Amino acid sequence: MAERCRQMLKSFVQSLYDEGMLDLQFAQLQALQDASNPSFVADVIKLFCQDTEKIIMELNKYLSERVVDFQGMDSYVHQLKGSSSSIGAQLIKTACNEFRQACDSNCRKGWKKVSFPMVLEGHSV
Amino acid sequence: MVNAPDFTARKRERVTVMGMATEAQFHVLAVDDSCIDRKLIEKLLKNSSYHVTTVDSGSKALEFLGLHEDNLRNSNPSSVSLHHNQEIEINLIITDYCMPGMTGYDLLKRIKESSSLKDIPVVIMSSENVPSRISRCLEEGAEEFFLKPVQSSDMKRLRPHLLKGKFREQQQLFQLQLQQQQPQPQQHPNNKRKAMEEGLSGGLSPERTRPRYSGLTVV
Repeated sequence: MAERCRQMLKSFVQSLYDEGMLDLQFAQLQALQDASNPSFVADVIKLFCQDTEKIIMELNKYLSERVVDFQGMDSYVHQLKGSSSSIGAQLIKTACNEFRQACDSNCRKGWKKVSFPMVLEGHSV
Repeated sequence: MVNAPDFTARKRERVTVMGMATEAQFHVLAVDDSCIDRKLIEKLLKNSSYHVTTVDSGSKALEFLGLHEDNLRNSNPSSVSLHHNQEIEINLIITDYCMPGMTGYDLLKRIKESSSLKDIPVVIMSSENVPSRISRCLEEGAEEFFLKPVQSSDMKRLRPHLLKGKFREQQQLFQLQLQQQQPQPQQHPNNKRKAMEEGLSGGLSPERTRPRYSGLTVV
């Protein structure tokens, strides 16, 4: 049973790599986990979720203003880009890069709604 | 009269043994405002058998190191505010570049300006590959510049700086021991060597505070 779950998780994570949601940095993260800290990856993902939720809330506040302060948003997007890059969340990192480019051209349409990768829940299984 | 060649060989051997014995006890201070990056760097460092302390800002790092901002410009060690962590020895500082308030570069500058901290190797991390930023940090005295995300393979780049620092400390201690031994009358060669060895072995505990001889002038 445990082995079956492990296999399912493995193929799920592989599918995320295939879809471009994860990059090799996630593998680096997995390689860091060892017996002394068996929940390391899950802990980092949890932290990332909490952090990102706060950032997205802030970004939505900015976006709901009539006149959007793109400059103010930039530091939050920079943070999100950094943390997503650190855990291998490639899709989010790319979205952040594109958003920052859009901010440079001061264009509201550049904002993409980033959907949370399901791996965040899947990995806690 | 001390048998110099024999004694020098002994010293080298003891320094090497001490270096290996204390490697597992190297204490690294990691500074990063991102909680995720702090968790990552902590795991990377722990996996390399270093003792780790993490803080989330440059000012907290300085506080931990025993300095307060208003004392930074004054290089006189006796006027440094004593923190209850004064006894903790830090062998290397690794810091993020982009942090609110005090940047990693500002922290680097303040460390290099402090007479008690300037010999601690500093490594800068950044998610942005900006050549002018990198050279600015290296010119200011940073030993290495790591591009984020930091990898396991980057950890081995820390070791030479840690070992160099420890060796320098041991050399300074050895010089100090020699200085203290010099005025004594001639003894039997074996007794003198034994006395010097005992002096060496007694003086290299990890709990010893670094600032004790940071201002030492060896004549």
